Amino acid sequence: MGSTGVLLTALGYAAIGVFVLGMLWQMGKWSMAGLPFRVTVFPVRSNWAAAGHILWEALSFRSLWRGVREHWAAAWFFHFLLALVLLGHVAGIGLLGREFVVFRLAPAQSLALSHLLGSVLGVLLLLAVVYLLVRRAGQKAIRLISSAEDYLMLILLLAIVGTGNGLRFLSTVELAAVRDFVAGLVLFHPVAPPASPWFVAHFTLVALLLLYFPFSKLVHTCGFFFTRWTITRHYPRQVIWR
Amino acid sequence: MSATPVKEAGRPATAQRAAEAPAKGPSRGSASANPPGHDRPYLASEKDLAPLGLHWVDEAERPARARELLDKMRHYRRTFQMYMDVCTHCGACAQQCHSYLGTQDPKNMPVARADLARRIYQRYFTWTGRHLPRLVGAEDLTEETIEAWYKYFYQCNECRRCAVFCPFGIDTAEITIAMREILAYLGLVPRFLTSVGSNVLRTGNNMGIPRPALLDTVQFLEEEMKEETGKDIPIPVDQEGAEVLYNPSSSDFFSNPDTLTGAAKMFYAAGISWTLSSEIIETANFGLFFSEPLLRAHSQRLIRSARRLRVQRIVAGECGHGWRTWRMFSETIHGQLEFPITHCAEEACELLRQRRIRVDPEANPQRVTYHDPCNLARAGDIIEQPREVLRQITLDFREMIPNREKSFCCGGGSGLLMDEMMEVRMQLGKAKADSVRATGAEILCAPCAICKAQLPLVMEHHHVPVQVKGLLDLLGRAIIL
Repeated sequence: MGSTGVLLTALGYAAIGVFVLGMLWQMGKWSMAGLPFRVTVFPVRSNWAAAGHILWEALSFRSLWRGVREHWAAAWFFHFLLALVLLGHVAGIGLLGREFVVFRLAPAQSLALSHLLGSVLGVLLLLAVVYLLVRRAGQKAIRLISSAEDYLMLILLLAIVGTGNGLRFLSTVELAAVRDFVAGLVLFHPVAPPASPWFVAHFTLVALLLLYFPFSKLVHTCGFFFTRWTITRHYPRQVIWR
Repeated sequence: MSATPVKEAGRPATAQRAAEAPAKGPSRGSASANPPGHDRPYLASEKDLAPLGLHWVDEAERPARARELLDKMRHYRRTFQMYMDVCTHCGACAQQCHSYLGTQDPKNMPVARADLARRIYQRYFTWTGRHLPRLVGAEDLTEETIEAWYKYFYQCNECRRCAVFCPFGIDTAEITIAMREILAYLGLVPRFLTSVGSNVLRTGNNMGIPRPALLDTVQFLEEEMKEETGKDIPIPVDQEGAEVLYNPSSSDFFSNPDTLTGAAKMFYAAGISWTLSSEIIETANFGLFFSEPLLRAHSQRLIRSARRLRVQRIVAGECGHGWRTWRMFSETIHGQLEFPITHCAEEACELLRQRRIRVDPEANPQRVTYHDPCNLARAGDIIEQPREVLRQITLDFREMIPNREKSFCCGGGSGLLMDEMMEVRMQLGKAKADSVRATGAEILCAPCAICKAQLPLVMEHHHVPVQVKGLLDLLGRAIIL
């Protein structure tokens, strides 16, 4: 493995390590802080209903739907496309394009569909990130509350999605090479990465994101569940009327 | 008529103290009596702070002391810490906050209000804030920031509406409560609040009504009811062994007597033995606005009183923050109590369901709309019961939009009833005025003492011709004795 490979491998381990440990530390910090009072925002009927609310909120962004619809669209489409792209990384790269064989497609057809979806979603996700960036800079109220980090995160995402699209449209990297490299990392048996500047760029940018993740507002990915549960949890009171 | 932007006063705290007018107690004075452009409450003096165990911290020492307090607060209140960390600056809260909508001051957006604290929190307690402060906008704490805290955390009504529309459910009210507590330990408290706080410690009620005055007022109201109904409807005081200890807002004795007589009629018609306690005729808990020790002390006073009178349950009167204290804070303060605490709207609703009281809706023929007090709906879980009662005691009940947990605050919440804040208060009430105007209602039912103090002024200022009444007021008119 050349020096690029060694560096990329080291970066990969550092990024995953910092990300996992950092997020655990952050969640631990929250859990250790006191919660002296019941801060439920009503109405809530029961803890099962609360769990349902939280799940539905995570899937549909219901609270934004109740507000300004344009905001809901900007946020929901971005997150939905991101989720699909991440899923595609695991299923599409992991199974080398054969993930649709399960739906009775021939391997060649599955590969073609996987390629198509990956391409379309990659472009749409890029557009979604561009829209978020434009709206943050363009809408006065949001511009007023934005810090440099808010813009930086979006630009970083733009670069990540951009290099990802570069990998898909402008490079000749094979899915198998990517899968082997990632599998090598995960199984602690590192192999050489694909020899492609697009891949090096994409992987490095993702690693940078993961390194910074636990120290940024991106903790909202886990934080969402903590804050939502805190205001949705039901607690009984003594009542004599039902 | 339309909201005018609030200008920054920009004077340092010492100059402001020197310029203050003579002390005024709590009042529901007219909207025209105050100097314009006042954007923050008058500060309490060292003398005002003393009864509450608070004192001035010297200006030079304040930033250091505030940092210590922030550190303690982030460990004490998980909500404070989480809300500092999890906000993504999406801005969804801005369009939903009546304070921002009414004042058009960008710092009144809940996210911006929280950022006043967040920038400091990040500087001292997060890796990014310590090492890359300019990236996240982290700042060192200065006296200017502390003054901005005082201004903006007293332009938030702690209404929790932002929590309903924030994707993460971030409750800015929690941040405001925490920051006001920190300001209190720095000696920065509105004079209005320390005045009420001292009254509460001394007499057990916000208005400072002593026992003889209470008994006089009670006698007067009993005579009024006898004249009106021909019946001897009692308002018992300190009656041991009664079924119910009724805990009203002290304003029921002067500004809102119809609420108290409505309760008296309801208990009389249902044959429920009840009593007031001269030790504590205040459900409202002003400790909620700036002092957790006061919050606890007042709550404990009520429970002691209930135990002394050996009642079977406490019924809370029409007071928003009082009910919020019961629903949200009581379990931590007292643990499980041996008797339940219910709300008068629940009592009325249940008595109607059981047909223990009968009503004639013809007594309320006007169009009535219902204002959900923040502390009953979002913070109190009393949402459908008042509506069930209103549908039976009125002929023309109309919902306003938005309502229930999405209802706008009246603008007086969290103790913002100071005369000197009148201009800001009228701006805060604009969103509610618009909601009410659209219903065309003649009567605005608002079962909360602060709403009853704030809404008449707001409606007059925004030219909405409506009368404000409590739920028990309307019940008292409709009840058949």
